[in-house]
Amino acid sequence: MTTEPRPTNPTNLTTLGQRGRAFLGLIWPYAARILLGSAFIFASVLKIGAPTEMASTIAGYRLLPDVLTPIFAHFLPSLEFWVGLSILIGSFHFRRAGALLCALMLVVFMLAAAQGLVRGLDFDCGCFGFESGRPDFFFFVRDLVLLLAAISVYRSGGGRKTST
Amino acid sequence: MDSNSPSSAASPRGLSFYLAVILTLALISSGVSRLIFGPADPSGPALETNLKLIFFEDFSLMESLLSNPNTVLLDARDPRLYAIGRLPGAVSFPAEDAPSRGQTFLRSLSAGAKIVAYCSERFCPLAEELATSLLKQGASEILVFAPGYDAWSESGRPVERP
Repeated sequence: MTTEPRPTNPTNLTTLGQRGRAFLGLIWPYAARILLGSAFIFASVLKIGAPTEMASTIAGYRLLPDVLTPIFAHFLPSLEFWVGLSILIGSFHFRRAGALLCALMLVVFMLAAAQGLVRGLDFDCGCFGFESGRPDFFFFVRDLVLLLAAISVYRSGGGRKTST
Repeated sequence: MDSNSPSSAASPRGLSFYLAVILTLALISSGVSRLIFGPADPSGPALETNLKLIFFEDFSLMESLLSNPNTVLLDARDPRLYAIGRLPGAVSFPAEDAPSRGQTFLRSLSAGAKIVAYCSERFCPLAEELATSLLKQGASEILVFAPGYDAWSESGRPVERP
């Protein structure tokens, strides 16, 4: 029999760093999923019952034509809800699809906020509820963290393939 | 697709299938939310904070506005009062017509137009009603001459009569 050492075997992890990395590797997909999914569901629940405020917030970005504003006022919170739900409790493929849509939305949100700041508009972010203020540095940090989580869920599927 | 999972071998669906499912669910539920919570009011950016409704008292400011070609002066009173006498160059725009005529009026304005509204006297609410309605329909700044027509004509300044 060969007695070749297998350094990739989790039982052979000796140093704290190796154990730590293995632990992070185990929980990170779940942490990313829970973070992303709950953030999107939380944001959607705050917005879904107030389409008029949502329309005002969207209009504040001065990006969409007036015809599309009320449609998006209903559609965006709904999409956030289903995307959040897919990431949180969806099957493997639903989680990946949700993460892809999520990343797309986060990029669009960041671009929309950036154009508003560049044009010097005085607008409301509407990120988590209304009257949440003009997007600031923290907004971009938060969106980037969520974007990283979305990319990781998209790449890994956020956990085991056969789980529900 | 994933060959090591026995259940997915029967349904080799691509990512686009799952994307379509999520988007369809979102479309359906946005329709449901429209039914439950009512349509989003398209009348515009109520939360936008750069809307301005400015009341002013100064007669000399009113005089300089009257001599400015960019000024659009609106008489918010009843058309019958407008017919008797009005500020020079004023256009009759009763406040009750604002919801129906506002959009057409705002589109007809040239760039840089300054909207000024007035009513008969200080406690007459029509100028404010007119201004609020026009702001809701997309105007960004409206001035209201608070003393109104009566104070203007009593001060001996020129008025327009038929």
